[in-house]
Amino acid sequence: MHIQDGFLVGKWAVGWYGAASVFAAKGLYDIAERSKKVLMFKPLLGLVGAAVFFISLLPIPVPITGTSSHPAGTPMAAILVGPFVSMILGVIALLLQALLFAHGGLTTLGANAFSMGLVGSLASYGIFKLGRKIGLSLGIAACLAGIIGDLAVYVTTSLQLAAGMPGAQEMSVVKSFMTFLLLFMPTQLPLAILEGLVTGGMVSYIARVRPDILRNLGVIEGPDPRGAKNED
Amino acid sequence: MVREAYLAVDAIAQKDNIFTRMDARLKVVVTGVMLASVIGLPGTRLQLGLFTVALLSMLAVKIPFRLIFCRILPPLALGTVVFCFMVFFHEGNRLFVLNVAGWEIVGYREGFNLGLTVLARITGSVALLMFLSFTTPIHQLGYALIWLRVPKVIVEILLLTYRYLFVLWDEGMRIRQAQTLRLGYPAWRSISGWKQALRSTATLMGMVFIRAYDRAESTFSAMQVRAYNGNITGYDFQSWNKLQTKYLISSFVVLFILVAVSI
Repeated sequence: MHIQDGFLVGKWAVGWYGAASVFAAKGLYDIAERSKKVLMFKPLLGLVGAAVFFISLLPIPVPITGTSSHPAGTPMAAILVGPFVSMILGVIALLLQALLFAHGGLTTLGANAFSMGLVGSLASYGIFKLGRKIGLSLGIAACLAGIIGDLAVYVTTSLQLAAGMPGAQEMSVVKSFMTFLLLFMPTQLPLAILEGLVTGGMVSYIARVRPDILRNLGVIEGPDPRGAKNED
Repeated sequence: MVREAYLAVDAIAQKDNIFTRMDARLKVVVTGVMLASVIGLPGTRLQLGLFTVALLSMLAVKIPFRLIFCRILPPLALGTVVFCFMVFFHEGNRLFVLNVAGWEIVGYREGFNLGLTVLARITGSVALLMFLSFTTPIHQLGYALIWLRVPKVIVEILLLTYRYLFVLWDEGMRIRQAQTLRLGYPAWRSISGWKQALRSTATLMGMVFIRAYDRAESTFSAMQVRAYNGNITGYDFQSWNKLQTKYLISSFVVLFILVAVSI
């Protein structure tokens, strides 16, 4: 998904920075508020950020599109820490990947943060909450959130490429959007299903072994019948 | 691969040379202006010129060519594929015709120019970013970002994430080895193998998160006893001296010459 540095034309690169920064402000506000309630929230975000970094660092190059396919990692982060905070983690993971591995880049950071950070987080968080509301189990809701969140990232990336790739303006946006989407799908559809299954399995595992963590983070509600912390 | 790349970049950025002695704020500002020129200005000369300058600068301070090559190869390969796609599919005036097994494949001039522009932009911007990362340790980069009014919270989490990358990596690898010894990752060829491997991966991620959570608690306690009050401290830069001004002027002179040549 990471759009490679230099791939978007200037006005779109700046535009996506602007669009992403509006939502990043909300993420910063959420972090400040939650840090008052959970004192170790920032160190925790450092660790969840590291997890997002690794998960989204498994690229499968997609020819022609100038980008690559990989799990997003942000659906898992959005479920655990909320969508806007997850977006900030996405920005940090993307920045580190650009600096350490030339994966993505600075000029496309805004666009990548918008797709992977914001849209991936919001879509997966929305699906997770909706799933829980209609009575789905924690694992199934997280699994669906992982799948939909991952696919939402790639739909957004296809749109960004269709609009902002040099020369793409000469084609119809709908036509180039469909072309990019079709190029992504062979690699992304299986990855999205895998990401969903692993996200679902991971959240279920934490709920089974250490439900106190999910309670502290507000993922599940109600008192812990086994006490504040399970020692097994 | 991940660990080696991380350690190499970190080790090189810590070495003493003319570029690592430069103020991080200067490097961030100059790189930002050059990146804006790469994507904002038309043509390919400026982009290729900046690529050459960045490459020569890295080689001048003895950054291994192999490392530079390995890092630039994936984006370059991606850019080359984009270039080929544009040459053959972006229709316009004919540039050349290839006859392959009776098939006539036409390359177009407009596609060639457009593909070359994209390829030059990718190589130029990747080289500039690589130069920045090879000459600036992450903590200095973080402090420069604070100076540039990037919210402190983002920088603080960036530095914490950087610190935890390999704590988490080592933890994950240890758990994975334990799972492998317990036949947690059988052959992926059968459906039962897939199911088991998926279950193991989910457990691995869950375990890593739980360990990370517990470590965050203990790290926070350690930070508190070292007077951590929720804000990052200790990012004072040395005062700006004449040498930094000379570096700044030299960088912009190089950029100006390249822009002048490319127009």
